[in-house]
Amino acid sequence: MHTDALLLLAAFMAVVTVLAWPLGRVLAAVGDGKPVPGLGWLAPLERLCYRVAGIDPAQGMGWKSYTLALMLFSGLGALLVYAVQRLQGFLPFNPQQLGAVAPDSAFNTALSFVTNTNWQGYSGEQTMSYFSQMVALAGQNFLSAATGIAVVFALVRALAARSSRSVGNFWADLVRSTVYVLLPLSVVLAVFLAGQGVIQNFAPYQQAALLDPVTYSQPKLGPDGQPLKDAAGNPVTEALTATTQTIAMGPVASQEAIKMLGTNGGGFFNANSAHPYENPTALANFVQMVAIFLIPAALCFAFGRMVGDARQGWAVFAAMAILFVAMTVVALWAEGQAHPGLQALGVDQAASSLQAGGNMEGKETRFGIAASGLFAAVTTAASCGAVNAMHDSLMPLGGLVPLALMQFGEVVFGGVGSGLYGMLVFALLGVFIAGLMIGRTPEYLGKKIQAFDMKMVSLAILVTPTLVLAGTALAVSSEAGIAGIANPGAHGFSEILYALTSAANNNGSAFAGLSANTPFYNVLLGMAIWLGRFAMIVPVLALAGSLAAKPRLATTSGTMPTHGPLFVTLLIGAVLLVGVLNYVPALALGPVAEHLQLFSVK
Amino acid sequence: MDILNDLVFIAATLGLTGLICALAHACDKLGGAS
Repeated sequence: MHTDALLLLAAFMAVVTVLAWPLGRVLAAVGDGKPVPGLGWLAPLERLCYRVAGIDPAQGMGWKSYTLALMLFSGLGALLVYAVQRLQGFLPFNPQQLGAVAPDSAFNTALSFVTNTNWQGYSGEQTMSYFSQMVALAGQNFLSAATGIAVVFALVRALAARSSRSVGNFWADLVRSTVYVLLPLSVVLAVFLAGQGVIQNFAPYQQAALLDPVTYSQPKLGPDGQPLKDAAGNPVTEALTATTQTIAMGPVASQEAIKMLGTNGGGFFNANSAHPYENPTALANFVQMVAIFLIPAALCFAFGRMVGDARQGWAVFAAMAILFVAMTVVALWAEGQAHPGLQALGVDQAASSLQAGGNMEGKETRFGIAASGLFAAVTTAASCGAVNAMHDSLMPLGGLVPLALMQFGEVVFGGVGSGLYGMLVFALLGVFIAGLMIGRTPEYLGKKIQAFDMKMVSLAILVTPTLVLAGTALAVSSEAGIAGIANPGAHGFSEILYALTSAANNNGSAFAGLSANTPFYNVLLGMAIWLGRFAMIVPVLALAGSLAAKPRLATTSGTMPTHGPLFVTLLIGAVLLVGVLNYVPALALGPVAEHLQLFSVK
Repeated sequence: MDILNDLVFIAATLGLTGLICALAHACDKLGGAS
């Protein structure tokens, strides 16, 4: 591994920490319903939202009312996103006159954006009008992120509460998170990105004449739209010559900002952050990575403030940071290796003034190994899903890192809100295991952890592995599932495993290589996306209801401290233990088997 | 045909939303969190 990769990682973590600390103060004020420092001028907008929607923000909700409000909001949101896609041909801001999105794709996309997953089976510039991008997709980028923040506020307030029946007001959390956090940060980031060269316009797509016509071959399609094959079963190809290139336009910068800050990840263009109009410079790339981690990291510090002990926030942050750095180092090391298949052909893969060295397949030369490897780790540790390199082309162990980071449950910083509430669930599991070992009733922040709480913890932890493993098993055992694989063998298995992992953990990044825009995958992944989000949120909110109702016991000499290195180790151990127990067999069939096959090349 | 597809997917969205509400009800029935 090169020194520049480690320096980039160190600089990244330093900038994230420095920026997240003050933002944590803002988030704590937002979650506690207090005036937000420096942003009081936005209070009239907050009040206007309440007045228009007829909301009393002071009215507390029990966990069931909170959940029902959240589900009502999300269900209606999904129907709205579906309707906009299906009706986009009749709606404005559609200079390319794109028609209705196919029903199965619209269903998948609606569930995907409402759940903060932003899995994209479609190609943005060929499918979505500007109206669909701005109103349906970017709108949900804000609202789904705010929903995640609302849930973690409910859980943190429950931990801080003393015998309360309320976990807060969902509508107030939604409005305050959007008005005071997501909107201001997005405006600042969008202006910065536009300054770097990210486009922002409503122009029709441009036609550019190529200086040199390009001749290429592509599979010939039959009347049924499927590739034709000759008598030997090989695909029939046809030679084509391109003399012009269509350059897609659109309001990208405004969508790009919230795509990163909200850990959404759904790209305006199909190439996502590998596209020069989404991510034009090395500086834009660095800032986009920081934007992905900013709110999840800041929520750790907000958690510490809200429970009245900043050290608690630092402990959770430390556990996330240690896991992230360790996994990222593996990814950077793996991608810095020369590909043995190319090595056998005598291809020069050594670092030099002309190339970054290592595995450059599927990577932007603008970013190289370090910025691509780090981006892959950041986007999968946080449940963002934006990509600046094609994960299908990562080395087997380089691809294992994004898979594992998602399979840990998206708790290594994770999604906005969802990362912290997932990690707090693991914290409860950790103190429960520790309590069993030392023979004491487990406590976390003065709250006794009892049978009902552990049932909810177990449910929250087991939902996503069940969806991932059962979904993968269904896909690899069905013809429709296997038909989508581009590469047979272990890599093909990884493509399916990655898709289900990304969907159920609400990440949304694609390994690529899997043809997932089919009715089978759109429906299967759509269901995994929905259940992976909300079947986890329900036990988390039930947990919040249970914890809020309990008194907060005073710390005694017998209380296990949850702010020191021992607890951090315990927390990391709980995450690793659950991840390893659930996924090692599947990983062995995919990236591990592929690694062994690849490095047996003589 | 597309209208039929639309109805199926709208029903599926409502059904999935209802499923989550049923899960919340089941969690509540487990007790302790009301």
